[in-house]
Amino acid sequence: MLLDHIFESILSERLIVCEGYSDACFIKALLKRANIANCNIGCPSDKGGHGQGVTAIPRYLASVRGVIQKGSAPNLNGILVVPDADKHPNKCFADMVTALTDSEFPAPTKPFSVEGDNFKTAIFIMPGDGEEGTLEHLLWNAAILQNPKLATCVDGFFLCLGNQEAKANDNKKLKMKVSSLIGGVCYENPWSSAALIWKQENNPVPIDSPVFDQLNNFLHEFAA
Amino acid sequence: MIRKVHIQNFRGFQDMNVEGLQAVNILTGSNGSGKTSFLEALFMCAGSSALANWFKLRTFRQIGNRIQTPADVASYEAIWEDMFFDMDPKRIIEIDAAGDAEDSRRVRIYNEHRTQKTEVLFADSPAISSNNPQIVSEWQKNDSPPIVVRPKINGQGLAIENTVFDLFPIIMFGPHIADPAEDNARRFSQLSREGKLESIERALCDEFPFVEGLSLEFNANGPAVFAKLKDQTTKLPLGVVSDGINKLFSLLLGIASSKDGVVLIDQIEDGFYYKRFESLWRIIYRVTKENNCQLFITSHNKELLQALTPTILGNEGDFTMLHSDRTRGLIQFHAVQGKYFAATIEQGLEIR
Repeated sequence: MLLDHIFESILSERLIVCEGYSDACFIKALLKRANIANCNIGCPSDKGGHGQGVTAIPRYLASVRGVIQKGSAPNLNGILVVPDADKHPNKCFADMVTALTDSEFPAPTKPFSVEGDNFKTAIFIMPGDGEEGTLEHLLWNAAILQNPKLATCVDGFFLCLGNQEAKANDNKKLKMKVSSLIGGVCYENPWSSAALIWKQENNPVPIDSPVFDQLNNFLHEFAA
Repeated sequence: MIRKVHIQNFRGFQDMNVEGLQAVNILTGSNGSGKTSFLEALFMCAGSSALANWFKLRTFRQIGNRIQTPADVASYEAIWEDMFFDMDPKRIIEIDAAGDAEDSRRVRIYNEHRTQKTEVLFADSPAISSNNPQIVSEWQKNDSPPIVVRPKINGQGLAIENTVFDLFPIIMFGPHIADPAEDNARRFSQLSREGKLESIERALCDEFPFVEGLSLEFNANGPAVFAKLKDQTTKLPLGVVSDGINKLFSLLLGIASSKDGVVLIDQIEDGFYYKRFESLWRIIYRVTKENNCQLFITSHNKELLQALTPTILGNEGDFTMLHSDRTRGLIQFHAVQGKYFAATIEQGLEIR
């Protein structure tokens, strides 16, 4: 399901392209829970040699086109791109449309919409429709929905460390909080991360949280 | 420039089409997936001497190039049978290299079965029946009428009449060796007289600064390219200095001598140190563009292919990767455009 950083072929019908490894592992956990088996998940990575994050997605899509032209993606008939909105969801959507079309993929006319007949295409901007933020917003909201006390604990810890004054933007601060939460709760593996929590028994983020409903429903629609 | 190729019934190709060829075409794929055969197919188009070229190719393959006067039909067909798909000499080989302007070539090869005793087929053999096969090649350049060749076999080997050596040069380099010294010497001399040698000599000396200069000298075997090394008075044959340098210079001579033509290079990586790969590509690409030449290069070497990225970037339109695979006995080639080829290399994906 999850493509290696250095892969040779794409054997599934659908490909989900994420910004980074944490997002890809989260999507993998959602697909597994939903019993969706016809998707590969991939992301640009430093191991792949060309960085990671949203700015690396255009080259990653170009490499996917290369794999298709090489004849090594014989079943592929759909691509979903899952970038983070950060503070600019509209620009993010426009950038992803350009990235898709530059690599000769069809692009959807609007975000959160699965389009195309022979080849499906879609862009789901994290954390969801009408929101700014990143994957960590979803993880944080799911964690505190299940256990509201965690918010007070982590906020206090965070303030105690002096991070309220930190120069990091709100998205970075939330990533810090999520990392603090995971590190503090996963005592058997305190260096766990958003990528690895899905293998932890005491994972503070329930994969069946209703916070993930929009993304879950969208994945079903894309995979259908 | 050749833009697309159709091959039918030649070696491992039953029916294969590939389009989107560019100035530099890199062939990758597993063993036995048809990379070398693709080069051979293009080499067969070099001129109306296609059947003589077949025996040169057998030398490259190291599968023997001796011709013995055949005693019967079976031994006559055996001379040619490995040229045909499925070793079936009843098939018709068609190789169509379609290109820009004046660059299209086509060759058909088949066995003609005579119904009448019209001519002596085997000069040394009295056993002529009324149904002997005769290998025939029909070579066609652009829309001109085909040149039909029916070679004879005699005690000296293959006798081909009616041969036209094309003005569209195709040179093929085998995997392990530089071209023979006399070929290098001939090309060196020709380029020197035309004033075209300096560019490639300078490129070689810049890349290997311990080489001060090159010259054509005579040794016991005849003319050969010699190198003057820094801090050494006596010139040395280039092949003695380094196999890799000799091979690179041989390739550059071949490319520079093939203006508006095609150069085929099988397993280019052999003989080169990995830290030279980037500059190797840069030099080869520059000389290729200067001479409006077209390259077809096979390689299995991931480091060599990764080293190609800096040369591709900014010149994506000049590159194509041709990836071959064999599925259910059929060979196919997939063309990957330069910009996507570069992206797959950058991502570190498997491209061999």
